[in-house]
Amino acid sequence: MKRKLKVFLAEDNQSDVYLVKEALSLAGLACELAWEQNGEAAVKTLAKISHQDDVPDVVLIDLNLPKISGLDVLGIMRAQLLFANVPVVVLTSSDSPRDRAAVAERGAHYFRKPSDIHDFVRLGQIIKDLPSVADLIG
Amino acid sequence: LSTSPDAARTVLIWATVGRDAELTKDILGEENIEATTCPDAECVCTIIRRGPIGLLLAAEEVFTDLALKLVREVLLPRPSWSDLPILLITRASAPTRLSLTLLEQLQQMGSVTLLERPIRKVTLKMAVHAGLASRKRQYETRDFIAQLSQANTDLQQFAFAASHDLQEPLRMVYSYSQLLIERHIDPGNEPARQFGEVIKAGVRRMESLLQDLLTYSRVVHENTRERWARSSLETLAKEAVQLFQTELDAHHGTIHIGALPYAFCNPTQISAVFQNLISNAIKYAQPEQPPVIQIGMEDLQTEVVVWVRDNGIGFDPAYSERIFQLFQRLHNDNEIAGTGLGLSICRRIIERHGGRIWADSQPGKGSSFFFTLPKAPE
Repeated sequence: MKRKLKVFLAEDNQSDVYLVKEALSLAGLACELAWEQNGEAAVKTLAKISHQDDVPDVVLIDLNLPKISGLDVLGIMRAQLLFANVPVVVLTSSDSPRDRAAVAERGAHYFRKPSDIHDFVRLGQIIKDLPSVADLIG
Repeated sequence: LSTSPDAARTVLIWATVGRDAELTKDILGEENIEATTCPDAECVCTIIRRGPIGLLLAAEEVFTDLALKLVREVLLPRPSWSDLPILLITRASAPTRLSLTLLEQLQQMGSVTLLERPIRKVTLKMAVHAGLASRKRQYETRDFIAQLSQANTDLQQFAFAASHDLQEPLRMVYSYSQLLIERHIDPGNEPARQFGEVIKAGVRRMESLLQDLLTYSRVVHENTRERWARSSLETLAKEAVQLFQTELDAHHGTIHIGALPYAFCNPTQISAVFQNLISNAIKYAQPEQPPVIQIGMEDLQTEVVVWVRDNGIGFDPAYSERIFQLFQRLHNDNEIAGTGLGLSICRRIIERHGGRIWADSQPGKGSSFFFTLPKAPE
């Protein structure tokens, strides 16, 4: 890998943050993880980014975030040129067809958080398999 | 719900002769009954459009064809709770025949009482009192229905939200029990590992209960008319059977599906009913006997009775009603796994389709489940 993978995570549940880190590390991904606990903070942090070099390689967003929902954070991102093509994985514990459709419509991947940790860590592989990440890893 | 039950208490007096109308208004005034007078249909329509009225008091001769047509337009269609009292003053001695169509049309607009001239004052007063009391009760019923339906909606949303939001913390319990067991318990510590497995099994069971509760609470709001279609019950049954083919083969089971008609229904939900019944037929098979399942129907005039019959362990017919109730089971989870919600979901689905579902069985002699659905027009 040429450099560490820049991952931005918007997740209010600390226990899930731990599981996400586990998933990334078990997939052998060396990461630089930035984390915000609510939608508003996530939007503010992303808004501070002005240069292409600072744009995260992958953005992970929980669907059910406090203040601004994950879907809205995603929408706000997609409206900005800088984040229009960043790979995004939306994490959620629900399995609603409506959410799935809304996430797909905004060009993001959908990951239903499973209760079995062996299934949860597959998230790492999903990230690893994203074309832009695969390029980066080389 | 803008009007309170007390608001609809005005009597609308419709008479072509102004003096008659005023006289009637004075008589009602003696009883403290509010009244408004109208000389023609336009006036009547304007007042009815402005707000609810308690009773319509009209002389027979006001109903020309045009007048009747105009009034119909404001009074029809009426909500199901509403039954406007209409007092029709007729002339018994006059040669005019009360037109049947007039009476029929008035009856569509409300409940008609005939008063023949000459009318005693007290007769008029009592008839108006009775009509207004009935009208007040109608508005009270309307409010009661609205309250009940609001409470029902709240309850449904509560069940949905509760079962949905409980899933999240439960997932944490599972994931972290797993982390604890796999990473922090010494492999040699057998009791600790076993306790951990009990925790995991408990969480798994609760997850399936919540999943079924969610399905149960979704039956109502996912059964909108837009999702109904003319559907082949035979295709739905066959598709449902396919989902269990592996399981059936493993038990050397067979399913025979007879000819089934079309029904107008929510196909996803009726498929879920078939899946539940087939799954039960396999689950409650005799231990040493391959399951034999038959699906067929009886074609009645307006509805179809579909049955799913098996050669399984059956049950005491005393429990044939209980098994459809929420969380009611006849076996514990160690014997045969289940949440006790499958048949409750089936019942809710069938009842939402205007049908009925019931069961018939004898211990050791298999079970038959029946449900009815309205037939789709050809």
